[in-house]
Amino acid sequence: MNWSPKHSLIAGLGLIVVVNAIVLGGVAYNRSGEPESALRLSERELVAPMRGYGNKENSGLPLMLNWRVLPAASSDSKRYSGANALAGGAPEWLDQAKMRALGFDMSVLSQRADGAARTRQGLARDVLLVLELDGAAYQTALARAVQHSQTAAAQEATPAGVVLKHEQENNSRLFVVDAGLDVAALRIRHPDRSRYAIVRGQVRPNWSREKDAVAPAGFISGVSSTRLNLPLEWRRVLEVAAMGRDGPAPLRYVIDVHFGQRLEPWVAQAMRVAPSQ
Amino acid sequence: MSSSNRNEAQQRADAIRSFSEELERLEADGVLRLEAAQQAAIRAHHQALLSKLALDFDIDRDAQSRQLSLGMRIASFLGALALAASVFFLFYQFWGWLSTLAQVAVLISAPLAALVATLWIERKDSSGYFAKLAAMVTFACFVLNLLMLGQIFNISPSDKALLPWAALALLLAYALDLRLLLVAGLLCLIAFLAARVGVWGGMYWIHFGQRPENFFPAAVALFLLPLWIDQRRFAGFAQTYRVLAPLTLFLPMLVLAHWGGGSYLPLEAQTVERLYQVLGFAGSALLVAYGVRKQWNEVVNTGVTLFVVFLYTKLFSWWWDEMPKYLFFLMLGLIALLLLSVFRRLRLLGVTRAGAEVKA
Repeated sequence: MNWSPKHSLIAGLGLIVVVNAIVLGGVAYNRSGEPESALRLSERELVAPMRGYGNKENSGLPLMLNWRVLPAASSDSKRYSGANALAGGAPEWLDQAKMRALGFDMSVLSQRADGAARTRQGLARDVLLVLELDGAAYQTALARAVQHSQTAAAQEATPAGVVLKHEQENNSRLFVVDAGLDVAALRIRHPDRSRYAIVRGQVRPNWSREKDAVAPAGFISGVSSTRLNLPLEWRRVLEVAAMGRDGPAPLRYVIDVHFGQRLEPWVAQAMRVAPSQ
Repeated sequence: MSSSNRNEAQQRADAIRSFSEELERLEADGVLRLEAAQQAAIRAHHQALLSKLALDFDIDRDAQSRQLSLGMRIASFLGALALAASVFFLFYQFWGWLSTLAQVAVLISAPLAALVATLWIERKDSSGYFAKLAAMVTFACFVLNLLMLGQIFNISPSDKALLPWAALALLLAYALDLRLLLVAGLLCLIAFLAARVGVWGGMYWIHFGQRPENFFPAAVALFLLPLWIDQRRFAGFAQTYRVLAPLTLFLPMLVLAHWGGGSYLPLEAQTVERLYQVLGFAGSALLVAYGVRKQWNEVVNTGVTLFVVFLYTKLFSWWWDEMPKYLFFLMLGLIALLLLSVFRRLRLLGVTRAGAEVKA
């Protein structure tokens, strides 16, 4: 059979249609039935983009999911951090035993602590992560902020109360609190679907350094789908936020985010909140 | 011999021009003198053939039109890049103001419309330049299509998108004899295979570059693919495979020769580096020998380049910190002279062997 332009046309059209059908079918499946979890997030957890040189021609409005981890408690109160973990983080619970349970071979890492071992064994794997909204992890962070603010040494570094106020009003309350390989098993441990969302993310082996002790542990290097597209129908809610944050009062909003069958999120609803609330 | 595509038609036209030039020289030297009737018959036959080839395939009939063709090719390439970028930025500028349904409709219809336009232009445009430009835009629209669907529906990034991109690029490349899209399609295929190997090895797909050995199966596939699919009908396709395959094999080797920690092999990093240094030197030398034997210039050039890069990076790691800079560059220059004399000797050997075969 001679391959003619007509064959190319049919094959090309077929390829484009079939691939789009597969992608949209996946989206429909993700959003079918009851959501796997549904979180009501605020501007603390879903940050509107700042318009700048990098994205000034992009008319889309992607919101950044602001997640955190709770590191091991430090005896040095100056080391308190309320920062997000967009570049990754090492939570206290992600120890060697947990990493083994996630399927990582930690033996080589535990034999050598010279950095070379980390390079050889330090590749990230796809796992399931549990995001907790305004739960025990956030309460612990809040307690640490209180302790930090009361410490004289810390008050020398930052004005009294600033860190605590920031933790109470601005910092994200969304923490990665668990990891696993099976959705059902994680859901048994965290049954509240309005507080705990299971998402895909990446974990890699790492050395944890606390004081002078070095121990093999894990590091959460990323959460998949941290950029959430805000559809046109909800855009008006955030328009002011997207244009800049120079207004008299910071914009406050709540966004209902649903996580579907494939654990991929979408914005189900967005609302403005009065500044006093 | 009838020509079935533009490549063969151009080769035939070039052969006619070479024949005419050589015939003139032979007549001037008194070696051959054709009868006037024979000369007229040959000239008439060639003129008719060239006219037909020019009409059917828009070939370059002389050196001037060949130069103009090169200019058109460059303009077509730059135009394709600019139009593809324009498609991206056009969508980015306005997509936020469209409903989700409209976004999806625009994204799916753009590559479909561009593909139909490409094949319609191909029928009307015998030169092929405009059709090739449209094909590049079609590919850009399809890349944008899947990329933006991922953003709109917050789909987790996946290496699987590389496969349909490769499929469409290769389809258009073979349909329109377009080498640029062949390279784009093969690069997508290489990235997909490497990512899959990485995933099978247990890593998150996006980090596939952190284990350079992930590229080796893709290199083997590139070696085998032209053996399975005949490339002779397509201008420069076989050469493209013969350059991309060794690059896919030896560039990861070059990385491993200096970064043993990136290997899957359960060996000390230094041992891995030495192993890949040896394999790199030996492999690139074998590649040169294989290219010489097969008379594939592009393979010889790729092999020589790889050998020199392996050699110079090794010399850099040995001597850069140890030697004064003038001495380091002097050594490089001397080694280049040594390589030149080796290649000259090899070339002379080839000429002598060819002479002996002619005498025999």
